[in-house]
Amino acid sequence: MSRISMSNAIRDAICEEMRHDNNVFIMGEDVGVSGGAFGCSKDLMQEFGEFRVLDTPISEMAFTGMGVGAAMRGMRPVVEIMFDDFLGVCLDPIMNQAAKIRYMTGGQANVPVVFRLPMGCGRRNAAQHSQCLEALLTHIPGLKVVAPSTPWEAKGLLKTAIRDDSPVAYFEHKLLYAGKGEVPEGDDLLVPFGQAAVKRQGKDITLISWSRQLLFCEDAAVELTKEGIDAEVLDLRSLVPLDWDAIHASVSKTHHVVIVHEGVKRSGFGAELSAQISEELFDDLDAPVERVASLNIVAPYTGPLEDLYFPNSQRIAEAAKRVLSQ
Amino acid sequence: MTGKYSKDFMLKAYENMLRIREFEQTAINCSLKGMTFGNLHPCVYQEAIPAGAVLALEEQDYVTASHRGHGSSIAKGAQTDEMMAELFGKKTGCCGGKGGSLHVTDVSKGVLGANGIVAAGIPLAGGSALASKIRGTDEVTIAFFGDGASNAGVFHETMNMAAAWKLPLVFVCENNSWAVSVRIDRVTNTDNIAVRAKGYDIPGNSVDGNDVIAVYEAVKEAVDFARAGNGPSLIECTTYRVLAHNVGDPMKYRTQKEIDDAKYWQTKRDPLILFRDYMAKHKVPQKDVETVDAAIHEEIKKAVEFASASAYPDADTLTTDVYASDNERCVAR
Amino acid sequence: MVTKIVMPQLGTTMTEGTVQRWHKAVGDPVRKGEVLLDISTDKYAAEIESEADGVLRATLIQEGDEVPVLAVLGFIADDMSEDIGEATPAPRAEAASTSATEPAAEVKQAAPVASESEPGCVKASPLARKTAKEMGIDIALVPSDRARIKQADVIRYGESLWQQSAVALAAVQSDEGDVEPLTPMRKVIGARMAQSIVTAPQVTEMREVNAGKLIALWGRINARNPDGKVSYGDILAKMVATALVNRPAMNASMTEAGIRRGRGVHIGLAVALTDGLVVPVIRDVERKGIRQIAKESAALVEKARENSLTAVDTEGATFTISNLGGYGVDGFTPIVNLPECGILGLGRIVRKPVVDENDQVVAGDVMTLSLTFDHRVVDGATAATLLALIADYVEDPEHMLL
Repeated sequence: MSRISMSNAIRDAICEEMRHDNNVFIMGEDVGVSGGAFGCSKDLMQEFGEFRVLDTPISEMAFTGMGVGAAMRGMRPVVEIMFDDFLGVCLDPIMNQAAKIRYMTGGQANVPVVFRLPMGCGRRNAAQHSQCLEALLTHIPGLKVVAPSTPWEAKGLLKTAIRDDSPVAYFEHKLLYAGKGEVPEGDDLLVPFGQAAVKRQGKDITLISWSRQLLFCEDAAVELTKEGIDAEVLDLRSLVPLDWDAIHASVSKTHHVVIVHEGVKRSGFGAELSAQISEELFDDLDAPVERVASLNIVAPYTGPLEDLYFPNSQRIAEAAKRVLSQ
Repeated sequence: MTGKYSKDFMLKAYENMLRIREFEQTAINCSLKGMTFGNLHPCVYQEAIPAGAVLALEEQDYVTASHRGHGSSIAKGAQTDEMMAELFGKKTGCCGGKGGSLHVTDVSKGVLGANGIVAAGIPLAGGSALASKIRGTDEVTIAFFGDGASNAGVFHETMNMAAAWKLPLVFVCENNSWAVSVRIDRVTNTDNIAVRAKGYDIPGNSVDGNDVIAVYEAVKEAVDFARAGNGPSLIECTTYRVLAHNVGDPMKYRTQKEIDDAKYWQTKRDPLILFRDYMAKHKVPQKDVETVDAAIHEEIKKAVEFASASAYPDADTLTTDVYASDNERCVAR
Repeated sequence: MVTKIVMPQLGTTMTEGTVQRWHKAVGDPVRKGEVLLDISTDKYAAEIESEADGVLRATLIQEGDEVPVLAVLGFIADDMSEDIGEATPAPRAEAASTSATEPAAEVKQAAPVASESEPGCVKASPLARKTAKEMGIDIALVPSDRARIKQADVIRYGESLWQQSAVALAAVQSDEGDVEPLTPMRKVIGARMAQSIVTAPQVTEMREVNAGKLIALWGRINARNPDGKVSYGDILAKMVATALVNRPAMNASMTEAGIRRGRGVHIGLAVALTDGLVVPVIRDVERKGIRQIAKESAALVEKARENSLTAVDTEGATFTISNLGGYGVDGFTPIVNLPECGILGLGRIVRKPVVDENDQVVAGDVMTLSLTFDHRVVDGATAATLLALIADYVEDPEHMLL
């Protein structure tokens, strides 16, 4: 075991896979010489050269499309789109090409590309650099969508993503890069898709989350024990495919659910989960399912306002108490 | 046109064009009889471009195409019976009936697909070229697109990257003057498209798109240039969209002059008629030409029979192949 | 003419009096001036004389009970068939306090959550509804201090119902001895019985019937029945069903919206198991012959003993029969199986002296029928007429054919 940051864990995953398979390469703005805007490809260019660690011009639409085309030729590109907010300028290759090519070609062509998408707010980067858009991409059939909350899961999920023959949208949280965690040694750490993890066992209420908000849920659970509330914290890790069995098991045990995500509340992935839970686990619910999410507003720049915009452990604990008292 | 080509070469060029012509016209007729689904964008009277350009490629090379993409796919070797079945929406279609006219693909023949999004095939071709570059292999990729697509941002982005990295990519622009109802000169400031190559410092060439030999020669030069590691070129092939944008487009937007222009191109600039003259001038025996005529006619007739006799896809193929793995679980919720 | 017998005001300070001894029994003829009963107060004792001729039609207050001055102690009428109207017992001087009232008070702290705007519409979580159904509890009666009933509210209410009925047990609890935890079946039975007692005011009418012809009928049917035995219960089921067809008022259920009449007569037969009881149902009894009834009841009893009854087997009864004759019981007070409104208890057939048509005392076969009814749905007279018809069928089975 070694204690490393998430950005280093991501870097290690890319490096290991590039060594393991010559078809793997990484492309994006500033990934080469600079080692990535968030340090996720540090020193890789020295080892693999400028065409496998490819600095691109500011041409998201074209270089994302090129990643898709290269994948159709059997390469395994890791395309870094510096902020998920930039999906605005490159959605077509992801949505209309990568996601649909296998189906439209009747299974002839696969698109084994990974789109790495840094997301998240709390950095005072203002509206155009603070979004969490995972819900947008879960709405596109053909894409798998994952989001780690710890360094070891970041590494394991990215390796799985690179080896997956489907296009994968891999959401990393910018404020998780620096955080360190225990990561097992060895280059064979794979975290499977569609497998959630119970990060804290509990019997009174289930907190379902992913990415950075999962850590806030863990903090909230600690706070709740002071009031005699025993919360279960479920880290989905994978939105598509979804680990429904884990959700089912937890909800039939606790009968109370709060879903937490940093994406905006309206049409967020929590709405999808809440709908599925009420459709299929209706009789197990002792209270309505609540969601704690960012407000339906444009993310503000100034610190005091931004802190009111997105969830924190206090708001999560309050929601849990509210659900239990209803 | 020069006189240095063998009889076999000329007959091959003719056969490629004729196959496209017969397929497209038959597809139009079938569409008018309700035997196909959705919209069809035929390339009748523009066959010299895909036929001539693909003649310059080797078997290991790749192409991507636009929505008007049957031509280059057929020229590169996609089966006409499977393609007709695909238009008919049958399970024996090249895409199992799940893609249709806009997405005809045959990866085994290097056809990476037609595309329903204008200009979207250009970066895909760029990616194919990037793959060859990274691997150090010698395949060349052609991106076919129209004059309308040459105004899309991604055309410029891809050209810039391909030029900067010297990717083995050839940009072939089928300039038929029309983007649906909008004539090119009303929305573009340059005299032609080829001049844009200057902005990226790559070779640019503009040729008569209805002269199959001219197209062949220009594209061959560009393909050799790319294969040698010198990067992309832009070959503009000038033609005219005689027919409507798609089958069923009433084309109310054309002026009388434009209608007359179309008539002129149809009667005086038909690439098949022009090339028959060329072959005659270069002493290709008429009976050899007629042999090709008969063979192609028979092939397309059989393609229609094959498509008509085939079944539609089974209902359970509705949800297959959305994902490459774990498909059922990823579709279920 | 009906004359009330009242507790007299003997002296201005007298507030209550105690009934010490009735000198006459109900049905006895009385004459004006005859002593009917002895009463006593804290100061003295006295005899109460009849103020009219006739018969002692009814006594309302038992020996040893204390009632306020002027409380009605009984009635004198011209004869036993005279209607004496609503006869309700006098209020007791002091409320008998048992610990049964304490849990009840606790339960009634918060009102049931039934909405006023829509009677019968109650807000409850899906889990609470599921739990209430499993426990056999009416969700509308569950109190909660929240806007929406939760599972915990249902469980608490269910346990309190059980507690109320188990109060007697608590009173004699000692520190020594083992405590046996309740099985789920015991809990459900307890909750259901307690809920029935708490929600439905129940009265039991008993009647002795001459079972001679019933015995003969039983003998003849079984002598000829190669398929299997027909029991007295099977025959009574047929008689009850026939009676209910002719007197349908008690083939009904109490619901939130009102009294629902049953379309067919579906009779539940209480079956004793080693640690509890279940009530499988025979449907459309009025349309079935006794042999078919016997076959079905035997099959259901077998399933009950094997613990393989399904919901279909135990739902939908419109009336229940409970047979304790095999245990030597005569009359008893069966508890109505809600939402039905009546239950017939069958006692043993016992040889006893009876008076025949020649006024001779002879040995006869006597069975006691005990009919409990939900007083919200029907009144005593209605129940009595059903009981009379059932009794008629027992004593003269041919009357079923008329």
